Amino acid sequence: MKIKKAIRNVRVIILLVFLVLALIAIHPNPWARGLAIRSVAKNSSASIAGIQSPTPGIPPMSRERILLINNRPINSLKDYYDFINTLEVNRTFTIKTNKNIYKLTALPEYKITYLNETENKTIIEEVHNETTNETVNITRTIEVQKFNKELIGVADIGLGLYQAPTTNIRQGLDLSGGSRVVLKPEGKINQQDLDFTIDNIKQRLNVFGLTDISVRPASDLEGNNFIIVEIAGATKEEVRELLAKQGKFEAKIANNTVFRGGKDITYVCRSPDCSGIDPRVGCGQTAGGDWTCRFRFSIALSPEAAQRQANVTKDLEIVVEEEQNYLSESLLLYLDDELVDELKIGAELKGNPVTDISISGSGIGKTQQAAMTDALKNMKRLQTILITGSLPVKLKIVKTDTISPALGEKFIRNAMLIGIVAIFAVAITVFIRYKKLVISIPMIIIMGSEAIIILGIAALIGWNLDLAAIAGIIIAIGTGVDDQIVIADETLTGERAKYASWKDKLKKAFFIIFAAYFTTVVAMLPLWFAGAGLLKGFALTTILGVSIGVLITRPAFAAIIEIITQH
Amino acid sequence: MGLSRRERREQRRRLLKERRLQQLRALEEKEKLSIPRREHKGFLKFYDREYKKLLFIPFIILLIAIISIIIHATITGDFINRGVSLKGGIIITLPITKPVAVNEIEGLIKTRLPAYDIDVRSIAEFGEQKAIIISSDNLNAEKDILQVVEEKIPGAKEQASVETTGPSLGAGFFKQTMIALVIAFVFMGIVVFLYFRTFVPSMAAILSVFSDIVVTLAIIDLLGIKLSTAGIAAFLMLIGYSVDTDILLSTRVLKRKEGSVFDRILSAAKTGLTMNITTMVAVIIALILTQSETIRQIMTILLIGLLVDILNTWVQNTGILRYYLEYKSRTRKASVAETPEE
Repeated sequence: MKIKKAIRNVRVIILLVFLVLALIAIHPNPWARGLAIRSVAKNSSASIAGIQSPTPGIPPMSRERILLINNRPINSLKDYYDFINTLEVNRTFTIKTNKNIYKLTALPEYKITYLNETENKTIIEEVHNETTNETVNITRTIEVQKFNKELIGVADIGLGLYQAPTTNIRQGLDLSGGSRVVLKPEGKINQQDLDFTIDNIKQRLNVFGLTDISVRPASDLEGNNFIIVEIAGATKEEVRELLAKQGKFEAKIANNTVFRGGKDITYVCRSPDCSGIDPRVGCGQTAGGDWTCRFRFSIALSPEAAQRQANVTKDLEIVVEEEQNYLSESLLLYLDDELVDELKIGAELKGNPVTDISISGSGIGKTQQAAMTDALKNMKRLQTILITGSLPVKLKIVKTDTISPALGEKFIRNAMLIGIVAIFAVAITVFIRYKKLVISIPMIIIMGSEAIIILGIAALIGWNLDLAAIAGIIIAIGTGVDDQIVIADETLTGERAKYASWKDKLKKAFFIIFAAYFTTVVAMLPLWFAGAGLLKGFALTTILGVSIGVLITRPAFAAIIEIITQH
Repeated sequence: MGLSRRERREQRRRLLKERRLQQLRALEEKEKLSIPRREHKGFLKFYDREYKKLLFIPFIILLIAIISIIIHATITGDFINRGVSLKGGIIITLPITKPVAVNEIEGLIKTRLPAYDIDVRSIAEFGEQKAIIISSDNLNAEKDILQVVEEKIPGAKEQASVETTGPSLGAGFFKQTMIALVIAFVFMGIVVFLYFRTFVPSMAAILSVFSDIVVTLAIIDLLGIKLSTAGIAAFLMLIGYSVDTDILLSTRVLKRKEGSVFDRILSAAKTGLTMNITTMVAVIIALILTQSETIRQIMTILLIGLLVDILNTWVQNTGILRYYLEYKSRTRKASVAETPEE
């Protein structure tokens, strides 16, 4: 009877409507099975079969999920890797997702060893012309190194996967695992440069092969600008190095800049036939016992840059060294004003506007293998920088956080445990004080509703929930309990309860509640702008939570108490 | 005229009786409202009578706290112990599956890497060890430490979470969060003033919040807790929580008329203490269960702050309010007494 009356109350209806909307936004599905697709690598079996990389910013529950592989259920990463390990080259298999069925073929992975011979090869390459902004195919004959292809196994399928999410709530980095790098531009930077830098960083990471990333600007109270880069999943150290590089690449001959990274370079080769460990030089041991390996890859210059090179080289003298003809000056390669390599220029290039150039560099290591890995790593970084060009400013890494996914998972379970135990403990405390279930039970319901509505709004606006945000939710609910105690005490206890009208009592309760509300909001506001935005989540969830409390849940609690206790 | 005389007489009598009852009730109410002072026993009697003497306690504690912070600042050069996120350094968190001895790990790292100043702690849930946390001021210590720990905890390298903060950003964070704290405090003060529009009660509430923050800070310093950005955020939360009870007290005492001042204080204290206790229950549960250093620090600060708040609200703020009301009524009486003479 009373419940029926309570449900018809306007304030309770508003609360219920918000609860339903929040649940729709959260979209909970504890039975969600399979593995969600985080990223799809380019030119991998998966992308060839037509599996799409998820659009950035898509709600977690809308991501494509792998359900079956060859009709066998895939419920964990272990299931997936167990299957992948049985794969053989050229075997086809089907992946069934919640959206489609894909036919994949396992691609072979080769180990390429270069021989000390060359051969002529006709290639077709795409050249992007910056002035007309179109891409044209050019057929050319080039001299390439001969190499041996040796099959070493199945190439990576190219899928980045994670356990299917069960709600639309996005987990922040400290819960889902991943890396965060906070970059600070050295010196002042205008908005245009900042936007350009952010786009450039995104592009660099994409070229590097990372797709599930977030790059965003942030600032603090003193007007310092920051760029926050967040990368989901595990990340290697070289990503950090890549981010910190301004990427100002310059090639100089006799102190004249011939070409720069980005615009002057129309093509960067990344396929094994024209990039990799330099076969002519290979690896060698230094006097100290360390190994060094040299890499090289070819690039194509724009006609203007080629002409510039011709202009500089035509005045140089020819010198003879080790029975070879070279020009008197070398081509010096600088990355961020540091010399990375010095290349001798063949005499035949004198005054010749060639567009094809080979870029080289080296890597070192304790063993030959380590040196080779280091060289290839350096090569990949240099290639990425040459493709994406330089940043308008120097960036400095001021903070890096790496959170292992295992730890994040523990935190989530732990936070849920704390939440549930705390709600019940508070309800028991309240029951001890009032000895009335009619106060304790609505209080539990209201606390739960508050949590759900906050999470719902977070899911709706795509807010990442991190540990600080969880702390914010705890405060909001704690303040909620405080306010409910004020309502209960103002309306139910004391002598006033007998004389004053219900409306009057509520007015008095809400006078205190609003004072508490305003002080909490103004106390949290400065944090919104402080500290590179890393505490924004905390400020936002607290303000959001107490606002929801004052506007939605507290009026509903008052209405419920009124209906239950009035006769 | 269907009613008999007897019936009419009875009706009249009933009406009279009702009216008399109403009058009686009104009289009772009036009496109740004008009861000068209910007598209390034991602690409450002491609390009621000796509020001026009690007022010394919070002020002495505040003084000790300020002195201890000053001493701390002169010894360490900083008025708080800054954690890694506020001064730069690294924090490595390692989830573990089987228990390890913290001193053993600490000893091992210290003997192998004597150059690094490190600190090892353990995180537990229901008393069961879940993770260990290694922190160091040295930004480049990550690889070396993990190398050493790997011997004791295989797989440590892959499982580790590492937080690195550059010293300039750490110092920036510290400055920023301090500014945020000051601004938050000023804003809070403005809201309190706008709400009560009287000087002494508003100042009393603000002073109570100020004492909460200072005393809590002194205790945190004495416990040797290294504050992170989350810790400063906890102080911001404390502003919000501690001002709530002060607002409750001032509203009940100043804006209500029923009962004596002391009755109103007691009713406010009953509500306010329930508020603090429920919050503390939740905080203690989070402290027992949490595996996150961030949450643990926030909760530790809140727990200390809420305990300090009980003293500052119900002794300091209450005492000042009573002093103020007494002074006001004395001057009013005096002016009332003076007028007829003139």
